[in-house]
Amino acid sequence: MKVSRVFLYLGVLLISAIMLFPFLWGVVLSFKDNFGIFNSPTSFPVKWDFMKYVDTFKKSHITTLFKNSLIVATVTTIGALFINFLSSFAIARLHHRHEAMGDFFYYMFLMATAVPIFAILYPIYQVTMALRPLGMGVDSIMGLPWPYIAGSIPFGTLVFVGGLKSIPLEMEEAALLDGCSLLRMLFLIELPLIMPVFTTLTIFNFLGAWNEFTLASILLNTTDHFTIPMAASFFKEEFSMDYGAVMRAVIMILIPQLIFFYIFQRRIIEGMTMTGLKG
Amino acid sequence: MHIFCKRWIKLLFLLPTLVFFCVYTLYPVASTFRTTFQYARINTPVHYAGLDNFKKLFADERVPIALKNTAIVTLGELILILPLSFLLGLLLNVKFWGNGLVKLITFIPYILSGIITTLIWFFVVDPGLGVLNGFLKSIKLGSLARVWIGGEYLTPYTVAVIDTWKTIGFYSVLIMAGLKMIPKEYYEAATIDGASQPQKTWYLTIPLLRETLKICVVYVVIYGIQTFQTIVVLTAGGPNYKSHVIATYIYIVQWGYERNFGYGSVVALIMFIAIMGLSIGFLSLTRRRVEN
Repeated sequence: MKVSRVFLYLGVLLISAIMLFPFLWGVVLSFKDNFGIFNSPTSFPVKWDFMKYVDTFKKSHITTLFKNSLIVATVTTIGALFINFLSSFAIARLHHRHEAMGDFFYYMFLMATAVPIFAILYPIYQVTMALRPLGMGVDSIMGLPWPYIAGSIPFGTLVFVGGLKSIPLEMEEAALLDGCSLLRMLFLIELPLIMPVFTTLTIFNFLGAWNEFTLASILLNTTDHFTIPMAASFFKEEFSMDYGAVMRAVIMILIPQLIFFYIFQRRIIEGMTMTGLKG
Repeated sequence: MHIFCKRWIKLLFLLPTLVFFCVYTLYPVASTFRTTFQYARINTPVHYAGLDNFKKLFADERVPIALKNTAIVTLGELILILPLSFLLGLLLNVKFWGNGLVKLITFIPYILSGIITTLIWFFVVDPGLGVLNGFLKSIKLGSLARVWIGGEYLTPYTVAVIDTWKTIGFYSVLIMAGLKMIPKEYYEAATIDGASQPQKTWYLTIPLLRETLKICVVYVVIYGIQTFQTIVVLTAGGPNYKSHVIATYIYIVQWGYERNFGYGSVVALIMFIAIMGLSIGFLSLTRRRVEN
């Protein structure tokens, strides 16, 4: 028994080391200058100078990036939750006479997962171009959330319909008999009952919009409008004279996300498992 | 209940989602099919092209390279992810001090932006300034140093390893969930019958985990075919189109120097058909599982 424990901990240590190594190495690199990075790739920094971080922070426009990503992710999350909640309610509940219709929409929305984003980049670009007069066009922060909301449909439908179907029907019937209106019932009775599902989806939509790269890269042109992953893809060119600065920018970007993950870890991991096995 | 029966309420609730679905999924798919028969470039009028784009596809020798690289990445991920995530799942299923922390650590890369994590990996695998070759040279194993990225043929293999690092936390969590569903009595019975630990794993755990493993395979293949971010950051398909995968090739044809949307749509059609076929297969697979 003792020996197997030793092997267990050795295995665990090895895995953790492999998983963490790139991040730790990124921190080491962030204190090196280009001469050190090019001439002795394995050496440690001469000086651990935190002022370098302040310097990079001032040079790069990280605050703008965070602001942009925050706006995009927030609008996406609110929009996605709202439309998916309504349509999932229709699919899960309002189907006593039209069961086949509910199923039809359910599977139609789910099939959207099977459409690879690379197959529809050009049409989405054209649609966004057409929305320009509304201020939601190409190269605008407000152009991004709409395709993202559309992207949330299959996943949102799957999770919301599953959650809503688990609520006993009698609950709603009682509420309606007592004279509760449909909308009040939706938001005051159903919503609190599916709060776990709701939080999971909030986190997922937020993370999804925060990390999305492909669409952002074709819909945004100006540096001032970049979201975080989009800007990061340019770091290598932007700081090509100073690779240490690339790593400093990367680490400053990652830290808030790691804190977010640490706070919501249980919800995130559970949500991923649940939907992974169902989806 | 009268209110449940009103069809217009149902439609009203469905409407916003339906609009988004039609504008950003249904219309784009139809439009891509149409674009495959068109000359569509930036700043030039679109016109009908017949089957020219399809003819170009069969003459384009970069497509087989991209398909081969995609296959290498996908197969490489299957070979790496399945056994490794299974082992990690088994390991994390054991109760020990620090269990939650290790689970957290292995999961971190999965929730971070792939662009950003690849940016860090660049400084590990780059042949010139990467720490991997530097380390090999410093321990007098310089002969093992390779052109991991941007060389003649190693890039897709490196990408498979990096993508494994990114996703292994997710798959091992799926496997853990599958393990939790196996009743403990099975193992007790096996112990009474005198089965050893490897026997229990081989004859009990793996067969009972078959459904979960199937799901993992489907995910790995579907995401493997769409692999994109790692290559874009590391080599952008270079040198001379040697390290393109199908997704990066579509992207470069449509949004790079050429801006050839018609031809890009034809290449995208390959990916669309592959993913659609796999997804339909997967759906019928899970439906059967539910019915059983």
